Amino acid sequence: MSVLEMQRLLGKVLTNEDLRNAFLRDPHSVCQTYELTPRERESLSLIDANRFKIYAASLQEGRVSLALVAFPLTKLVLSEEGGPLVARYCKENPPLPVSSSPMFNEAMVFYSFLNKLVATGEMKSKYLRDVLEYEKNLFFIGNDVETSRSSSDFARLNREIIDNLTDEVMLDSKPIKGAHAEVVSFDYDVIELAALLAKQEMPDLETKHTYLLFSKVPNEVGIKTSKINKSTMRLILMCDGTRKTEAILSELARDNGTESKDVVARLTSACLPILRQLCKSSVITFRN
Amino acid sequence: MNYSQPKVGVGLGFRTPLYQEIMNNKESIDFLEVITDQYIYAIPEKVELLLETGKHFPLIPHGVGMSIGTDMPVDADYLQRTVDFVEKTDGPWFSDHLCFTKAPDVDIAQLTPLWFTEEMVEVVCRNVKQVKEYTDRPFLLENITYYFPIPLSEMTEAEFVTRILEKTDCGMLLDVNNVHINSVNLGFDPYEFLNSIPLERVTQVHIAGGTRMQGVILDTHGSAVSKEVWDILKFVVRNAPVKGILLERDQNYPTFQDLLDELNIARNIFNQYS
Ligand SMILES: [Fe+2]
Repeated sequence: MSVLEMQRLLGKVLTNEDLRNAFLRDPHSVCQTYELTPRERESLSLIDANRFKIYAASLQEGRVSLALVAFPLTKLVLSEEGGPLVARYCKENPPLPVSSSPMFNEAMVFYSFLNKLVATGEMKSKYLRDVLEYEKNLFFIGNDVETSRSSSDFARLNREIIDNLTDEVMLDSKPIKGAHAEVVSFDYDVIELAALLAKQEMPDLETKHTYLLFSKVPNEVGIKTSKINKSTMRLILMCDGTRKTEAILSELARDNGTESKDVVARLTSACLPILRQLCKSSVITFRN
Repeated sequence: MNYSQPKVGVGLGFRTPLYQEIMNNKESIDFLEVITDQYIYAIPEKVELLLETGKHFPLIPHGVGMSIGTDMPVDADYLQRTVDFVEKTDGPWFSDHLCFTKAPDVDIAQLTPLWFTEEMVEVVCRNVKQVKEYTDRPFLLENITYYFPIPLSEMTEAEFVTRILEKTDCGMLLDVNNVHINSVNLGFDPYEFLNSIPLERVTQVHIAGGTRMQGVILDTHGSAVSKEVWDILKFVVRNAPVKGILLERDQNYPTFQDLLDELNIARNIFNQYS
């Protein structure tokens, strides 16, 4: 007996459009590639083709709907795109069994799919990249088990060091951003864009480069998003645990074309309060 | 079977968009059913928040991904996570569907019908036995909606369900909307079906509304409960030792008052007919 083989065939045929079409045209030849008993083959060949197609279509729609739970605003923007996106998504991303949250997994696979289409210029909407990236960060940082752990670890570490975090200590240690925090640049004011889309309005915005810091709130369900400027974004990106704050400030000074003491001192007095604040909110921590 | 489970009343499927309204209407909702699969891989903060909500309502875990009918052992990691979650929620029972959702290299991710054969009865019984080795909490099996039967079955769905429930000594989560949808889509008498299954094993009931499309009713949980479903519910409550009635609503949300009105109808039926 080969019930498992029959279930494997059903699963494949239900989720693979080309194979399904072949199966519905000629079930016997598709069945031949599976180790089935004659009765199992006979049973499969008698399945109601019309109902089978309806069910298969609902599976495709179901996959995309599940993914779009994580991307409600992207869904609105996508409604302007049209085209056979659902079928293409399912064709290019066969549903594999995974040991993780089904929704989390589907959402991240769908993100990669759309992101690729955006990168190759296949999508029309000028807002799609921004909205997709915005919602991906909200969803991923808010729901990933590793980011959750990272934010809790940082909060615990920082509680221990924050009272002794003098300017000298900061300068002499290596700041590092956690996996639970991300800085992202956008072409539009994505906060305004998101607010308008949430009201079901398709806005007409001018380009306005915007930088956001996303960070998981430690030990709570929630994400904090803060608008930052380009320099702060650069500063945070340099907090990768490989160099001391002192070295980061020198590098920033070199970026400005000078390493003069004045410039370094100005940068130091501007950056240390920012780093302290980032440490307080557990976006970064300091290592020796 | 142990019939000593408590009566939990009339509840609502817990869905994130409904969270605030649920908390604002605690006195009108007797229990919450929570989708196990949304929590067993979730960040701990999300589980904590749910357990906080659970201080106001009994929580009953309901799974969609165990794939009890796949002809291979239940995924041990999935099962352990499920049982841990059931313990955390302290649910009086937990449930999943009599179906399969995956095969070795494909995740169908939806409730797909089983072939009603002797061999499949054995497969399900073997897997339920595995589940029971992990926990003593009562495990209920739910009947699904299916749009096509797998031909050349050796028995009817009612016989299949009966054989499994009796052999495994499991309770049943009877989805009356699924009975109604199948009766329309597949052309059978829902009451004949109900009279052919062991109603004495029905512990919990689901009610919901479907959507008509392409000549069939789809189980969308996206519309109001139909008159036919209310009628079937009355029959079931009159004839089965139902402990809880659960309204499932997953999309196309109406006002929360509309949901409360449906809970009230269910409560009246529960009080009048049980
Ligand atoms: Fe159900």
